[in-house]
Amino acid sequence: MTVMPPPPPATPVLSDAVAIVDAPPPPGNQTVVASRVSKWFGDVVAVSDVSFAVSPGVTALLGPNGAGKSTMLRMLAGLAPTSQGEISVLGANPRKDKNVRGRIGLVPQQEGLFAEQRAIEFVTLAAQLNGMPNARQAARDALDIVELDPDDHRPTLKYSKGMKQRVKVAQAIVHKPDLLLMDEPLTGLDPRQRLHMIELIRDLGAQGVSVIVSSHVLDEVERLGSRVLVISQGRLAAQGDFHEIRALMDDRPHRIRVRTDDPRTLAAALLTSAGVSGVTVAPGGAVLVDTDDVDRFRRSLAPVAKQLDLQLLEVRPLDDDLESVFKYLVGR
Amino acid sequence: MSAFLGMTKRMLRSIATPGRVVAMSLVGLIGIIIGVVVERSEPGADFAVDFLSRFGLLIYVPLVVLVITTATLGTLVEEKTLVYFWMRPIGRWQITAAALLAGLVVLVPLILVPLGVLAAVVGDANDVWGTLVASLVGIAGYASLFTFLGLVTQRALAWGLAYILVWEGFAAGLSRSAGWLALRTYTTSALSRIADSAGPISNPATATTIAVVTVGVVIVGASLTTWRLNAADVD
Repeated sequence: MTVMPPPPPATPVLSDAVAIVDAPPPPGNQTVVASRVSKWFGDVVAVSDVSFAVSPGVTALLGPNGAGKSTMLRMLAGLAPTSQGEISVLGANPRKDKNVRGRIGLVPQQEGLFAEQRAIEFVTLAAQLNGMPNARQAARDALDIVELDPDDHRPTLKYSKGMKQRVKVAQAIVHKPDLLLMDEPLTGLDPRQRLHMIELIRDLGAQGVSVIVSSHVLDEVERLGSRVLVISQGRLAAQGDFHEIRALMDDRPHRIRVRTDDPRTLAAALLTSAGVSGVTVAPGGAVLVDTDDVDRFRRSLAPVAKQLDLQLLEVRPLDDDLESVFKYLVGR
Repeated sequence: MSAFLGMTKRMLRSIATPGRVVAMSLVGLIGIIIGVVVERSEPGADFAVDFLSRFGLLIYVPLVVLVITTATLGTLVEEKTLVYFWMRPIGRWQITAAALLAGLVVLVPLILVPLGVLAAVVGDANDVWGTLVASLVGIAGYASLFTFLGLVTQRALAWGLAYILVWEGFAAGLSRSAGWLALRTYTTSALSRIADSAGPISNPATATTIAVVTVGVVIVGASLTTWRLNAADVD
């Protein structure tokens, strides 16, 4: 049988919605290419016109819950067809090419395992189905990597959530995939295991595996030190180096609620303060301050209040959550 | 080969739960008891074949096959573990074949033993052979259809029961042409021919027709299952 070399991957078409666009990986180095991919379920659009390319190393798919990350990962794995657009993984369609499926490892989001099976049996079966010559030994090695005991006689039904998560990772890496797709892999892990898993992900990336990790936790992504694809409401909101995106998130306008004993006097004074772009007195009496520089505003607030002899009752940022960050990026 | 057998073994463990096996065995046992009691109280020339046809082929075989085979792939879909087979570099037909094989491994003893015992108790050697062959025809045909059903809907048991009761149990008996589209025609034909009894069906299908239809239904059911696996949106 002749095995044809995979066709060269297509150059991705980048979506207009992207806030930061770093240079996509050169075509020869792209393991995953998504071109104008959309996915809808009836009237619900889960993913809308998303384009990106991924090269070896760690890439984080960052977004709030329900943003479309899992749907995107499922399409990359070939588990779900695209409604529109194309996905190329290692030069082929992962949904149709079984050889490419053998080069993908998937850590699905759902907890479900074959409950009454032992971890070693489960991972050995995965190795067998991937055509590994010494499946049992490969399974033992994979379980060692995720710090699970291959000789544990308990069925996975008795495992904690974190242990099940590690079994899922073991079955995904047992055949040494070129592309590893991990849907929220740190969920359920204790702090030590979380650290170990982050190190493992970084090691695999350093070894040349293309690892795509979905997460809704900004700090996790920061620790992966990866390239980031920010997805929100099904759209690609930003892509690029994590630090650039972090800076963009920090530099965006912020809204802060200040409660005081004399809101009108404070509002009038703040209008001329440095870094303040807008001030509103809300119906309840709170002063809503828009600022581009939170630190500068915080430093100036106390002196203003002291000068006017006002009492500050509350100073609270209203949009410091990840959801607000994503909304801002999408709305740009 | 070890991968295929591993997958089959995995499916086998998920369908052959103690609850299912015990429940289905109890139904078989009840059938045996009823058959023996009725046969002792009202002995008749065609009682054995008639009872084996009505209880065995029209109720027990499709019911047990439905309960077992809708769970083969249905359980994987329900528990969201199908992904662990689906993502592997194997042909989808291998998943279908493993599911059918797992179903057969459970069904053959679960059906042939009680019905064989029943036939031996209430009938003669021909009745036993007829029952065994007819049951195999039913197992093969129903298993391929119900395995597909388990993959496409989470209400496979309800739909399967409706099919057994409405189509196989009622509509197929209304006209001869409808009868040819029901598996019961071929299972009862097999019993009727081997047991040499006209009781269960007045115009039984030939042995060739029974074989061709059985193989055809298995191919159609397996093809539909494989097609569905290819087209599925897997969780």
